[in-house]
Amino acid sequence: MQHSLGWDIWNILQPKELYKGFLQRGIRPNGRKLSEYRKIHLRKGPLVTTVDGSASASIGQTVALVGIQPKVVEWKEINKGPVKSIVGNFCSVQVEFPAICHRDMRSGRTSEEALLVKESLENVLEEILVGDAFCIVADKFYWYLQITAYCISFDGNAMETFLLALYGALLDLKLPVLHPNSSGDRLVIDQSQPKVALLMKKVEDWPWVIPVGIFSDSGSEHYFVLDLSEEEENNVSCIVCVWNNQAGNKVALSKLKFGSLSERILQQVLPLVKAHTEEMIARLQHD
Amino acid sequence: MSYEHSSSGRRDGRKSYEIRGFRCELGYLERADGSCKLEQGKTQVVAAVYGHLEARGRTELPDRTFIEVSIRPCQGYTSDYLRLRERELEEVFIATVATELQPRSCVAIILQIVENDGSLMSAMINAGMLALLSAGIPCHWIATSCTVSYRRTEGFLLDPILVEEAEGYATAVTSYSFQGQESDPSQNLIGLSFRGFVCSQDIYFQSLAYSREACKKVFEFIRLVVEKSQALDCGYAEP
Repeated sequence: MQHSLGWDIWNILQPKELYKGFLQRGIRPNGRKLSEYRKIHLRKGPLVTTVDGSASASIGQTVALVGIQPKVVEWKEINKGPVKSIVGNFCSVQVEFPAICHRDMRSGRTSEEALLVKESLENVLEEILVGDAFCIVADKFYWYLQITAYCISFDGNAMETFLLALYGALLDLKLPVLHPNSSGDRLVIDQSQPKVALLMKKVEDWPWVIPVGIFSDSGSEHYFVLDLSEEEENNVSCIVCVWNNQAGNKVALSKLKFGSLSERILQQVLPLVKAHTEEMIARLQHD
Repeated sequence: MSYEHSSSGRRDGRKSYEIRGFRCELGYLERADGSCKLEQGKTQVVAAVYGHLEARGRTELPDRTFIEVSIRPCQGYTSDYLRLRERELEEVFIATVATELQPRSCVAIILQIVENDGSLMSAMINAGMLALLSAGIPCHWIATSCTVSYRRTEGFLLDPILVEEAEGYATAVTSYSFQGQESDPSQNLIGLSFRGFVCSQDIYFQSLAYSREACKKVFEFIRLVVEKSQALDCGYAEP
């Protein structure tokens, strides 16, 4: 009488071999196709009463919450170094992966995943925010945005989830209209005017990221997998984060993990993610 | 390659596709198992390798060697920015070192920044590689790296100095591996990191091709250094 081991035991003993067996059939262990995304959900709105812009985004089981709190700062608090950047002068980003989001996360020192997401969000903010939009009274008062991002639950593809939540929070952000008082040393909220959105570049020009997992089978065959879950991120040989916008004029590629790539694979990856990038930007515009 | 390089010279007189001169001293630190002081123009990095050491606790992996990378800045403590660069370097060196040969052991790579005049990440990767070779750590290949700075008017510049990096709107650090003179580096891109966004895919892939040629020059330099140091060692061994 023959007994075969269940797939869950194979998953513990030989996870990559099991995963390869599924990929060769064009499907993943949970039934998704290789380019199929989990359920994507974005909720903009007053999730937290202490911030003026917030959004919650989820891709599958990964959930991110972003809140933006604007403050007014005086011109002398702005760093006027040789390089005038927006992040640091007009906004700051804090990303946390608390212990609640995953069993391997620990409270205390900021995790590397959080630092990676933070650096990516800062790069994006440099690209989409306009420096002049933060000026209230020239050389006197400026807006300063404190952006806080929390991971509520982590199951892979954190970067795209956080980016979706950040974009939702920026689109939700409304700033009060301020005027200087008669002496010019303070600002007064103009209650007669409604709050206004922050001036930013067009949504069509906003860059989008798609992490693509590349599973290599001894260098000959390659499988491209989108929207990796946390378990799948451990099985692929490398992950390429592809940044691009709708027009295709904001390109960036970065590689994670230890596997090696070829330039030919990089060129194959770019057209693969085009459709999803356009879909996500269209969703942001219409939501 | 059909890229037209800028006719206007750079501050140091180089063309846009030229890299700075290298200077290297192997065995710079006596107490380390392997060490190297690398000067890439004015950027100076000292790399030290300790290993293979006995692994304990979280560094003990049952199937491979644990690689630990630490970056020490010129002054102050390691910031979050450098912690991320440590992670990037770990990924390059884990792919490079033959970790499957000695499981349950640890290799520590410490990189001290002496001076930063641009292309720091590339200098750290190149210095770390030389220190690994100096220590005799078995590796799959030789890892080399080059930095590219993208400019709005001039396309891109290879091996930018600090001012050129700040003036550019995006920077990329590419790492290629070489297993010999005949190996095809376009198949072995082992590290790729980015800051900012490039305006065109064509410019991006052109810059990859140029940085690949620059990494080949770095590989030739590393090979020359190792051959010369081996020749010196043989000279001392003879009676």
